[in-house]
Amino acid sequence: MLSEELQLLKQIVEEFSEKEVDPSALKIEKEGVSQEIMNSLAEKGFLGALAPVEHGGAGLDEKGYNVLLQVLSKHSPSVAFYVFLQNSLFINPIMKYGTKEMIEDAVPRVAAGKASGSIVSHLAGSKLTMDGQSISGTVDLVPNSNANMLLVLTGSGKESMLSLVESGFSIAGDSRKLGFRGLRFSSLSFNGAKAKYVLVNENAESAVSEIYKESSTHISAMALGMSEAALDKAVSYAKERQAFDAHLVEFQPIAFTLAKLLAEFNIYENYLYSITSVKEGMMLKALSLEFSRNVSRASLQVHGGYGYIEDSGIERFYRDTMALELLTGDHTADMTSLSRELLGNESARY
Amino acid sequence: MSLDFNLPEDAEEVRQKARKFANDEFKDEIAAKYDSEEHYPYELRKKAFDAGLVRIDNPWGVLLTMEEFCRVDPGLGLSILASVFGSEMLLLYGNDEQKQKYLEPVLKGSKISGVAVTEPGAGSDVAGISSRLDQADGELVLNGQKMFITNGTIADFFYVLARTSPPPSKEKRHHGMSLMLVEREWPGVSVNKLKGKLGMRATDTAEIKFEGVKVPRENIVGETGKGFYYVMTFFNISRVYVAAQSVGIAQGALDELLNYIKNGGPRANEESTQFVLAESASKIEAARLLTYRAASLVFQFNPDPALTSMAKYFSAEVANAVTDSALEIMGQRAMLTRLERLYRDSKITEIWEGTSEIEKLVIARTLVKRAMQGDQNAQ
Repeated sequence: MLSEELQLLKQIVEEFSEKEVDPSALKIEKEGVSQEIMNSLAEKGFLGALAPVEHGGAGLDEKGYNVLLQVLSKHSPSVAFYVFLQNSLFINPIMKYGTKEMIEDAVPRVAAGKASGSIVSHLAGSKLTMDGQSISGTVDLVPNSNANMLLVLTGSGKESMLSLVESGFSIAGDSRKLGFRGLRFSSLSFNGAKAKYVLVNENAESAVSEIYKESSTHISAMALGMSEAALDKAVSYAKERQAFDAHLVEFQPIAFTLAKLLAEFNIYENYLYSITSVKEGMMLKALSLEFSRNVSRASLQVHGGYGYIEDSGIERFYRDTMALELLTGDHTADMTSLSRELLGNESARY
Repeated sequence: MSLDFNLPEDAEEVRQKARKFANDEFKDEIAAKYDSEEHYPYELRKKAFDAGLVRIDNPWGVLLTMEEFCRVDPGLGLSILASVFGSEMLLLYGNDEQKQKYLEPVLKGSKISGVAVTEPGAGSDVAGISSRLDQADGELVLNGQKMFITNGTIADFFYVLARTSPPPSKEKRHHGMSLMLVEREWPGVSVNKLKGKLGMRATDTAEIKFEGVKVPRENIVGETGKGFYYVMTFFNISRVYVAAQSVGIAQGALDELLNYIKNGGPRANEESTQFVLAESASKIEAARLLTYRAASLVFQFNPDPALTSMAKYFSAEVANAVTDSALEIMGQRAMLTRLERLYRDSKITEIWEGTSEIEKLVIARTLVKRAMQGDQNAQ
């Protein structure tokens, strides 16, 4: 179902992940994504996957980018989330809302791995204020808080703005990490930080919500990548582990559970590569996030005590699938948007 | 069918005492520290003993304390209460000398016990264990390996299940196993702490190796060859405690959700949030009633294995479902609260002391057996 070109890309990303990511998958969780891995991600063009070639990117189309995220998520959700953050939540909005000058300044640096980006939204509940061009306040749970370039959402409603900030912020304290432990999450404080550029000068809240909506397919690709890996591991383990003088897979309840999840996975994966609209992406996101949690929970259950310990790489999916849900949107907002897409603007008001 | 739980008079008092202790001692920053560092809370355990909160002679007290401790922090709560793990086996099947030497110091809080049944190749399938206690030159020698043992590196002794004779037939695999007391400091015992658990990270978990460990004859608990039976009897008791853990975890998640609503969280007044609250509260109430009913029969020495397994399986599922939906509805800010810890801590309740799959087998087999026997009480 994937074109030959995409098959080839898939193979390239698989080989890259096996060589560069797998050997240090546990280390990434404990010590972070190393500079070495960052360099090889940049070298392969993954950090600028969505950026056009003339701006130093790989110029991948949506399908190619989804292949990249799906495969990386199988091997290291932390690495995949980092790539997602650089592309879907940093490069993409700049390409969409930035002027030529802003694009030429910011995008090539991120694509080359010379700078690292992140986004500061309202998802964790705290809000920053903008006075003139100066930003103040503290915001929690900024992913990849080591970033040197931030897209910062300030204010609310019509007054809200989206700016690019390169200095004037500092880490106020590290946040606990449910998932994607290979990335740093911190509270950042802004003390009169200057906006280098203003990308959106009014109603930026809706612009940011658009950015997340347009990332729905990418988020689904990560959810499905994690699901695929958790399922693969569960199937192998069920075929090799014995109890009561039989392999686990010989027991109906385990076989039925895995068979049903595999069926669902195949249907979702096929759908993923047929998506052509934002609406379809939103539909898949609503299903695949919950699906990925069900899969990781089932996989952990099949592995029993072994799945509970980090060495197996299973418990990570249990945490990361939930973290993906929480870090990429607000469930109620997502469901409201989806309802209105499918049922009209009067729906889901109360 | 009796619906009287026979709760002791002091039940509410014990619950309040446990609740106060947990709220005072398991502060979020303390719980988060033990969780991230994976340290066993020795001082908190001592405090709880000093406060008279670990009293195995009051099983309802233990159950309610378990629920209230897990409601605030499962990792710390379990670490404290599981320090007497396995004591029921000695209480039921031990002789006076064994009780005096091993049980008394545990109940006083000066020693810690552990249960070593699970092996790398035998988890749910307890009869599949391969640890062996053999006769050699008139001595009993233990060899084998145990896995995921709670209190593995801190226990003073373990209740070890090992084979003392080969199974008489394939159908009778559970025959020929014995239960024995083995001290951690004895020659040939080595332990290795398992780090990097998903949850319950304050609890101590280890793999244990027994290599030519000499076990004195007087350390065999009860009759030789009846170990499997003793362990299953113990699981029938400990499973209601796991059910109570699950009820506590779910209640803790509900507390967080109610806090969020009370404090006017962004989605507090929306109907989808209200429904999550209503559904979670209903599930928890059902799980709690089921757990108390199973427990009341266990504590009256009239256990119903089907009911016990229902309580354990159902409550564990509720704990997982409630923590999941509370996190989902509260969104990213919930990652900054103890809810993310409750979410991680909840998963183990579907695995330890018998996976949910094993519980379902027990339920089905018990009900079918009763139906075959024409028991009027079969449900």
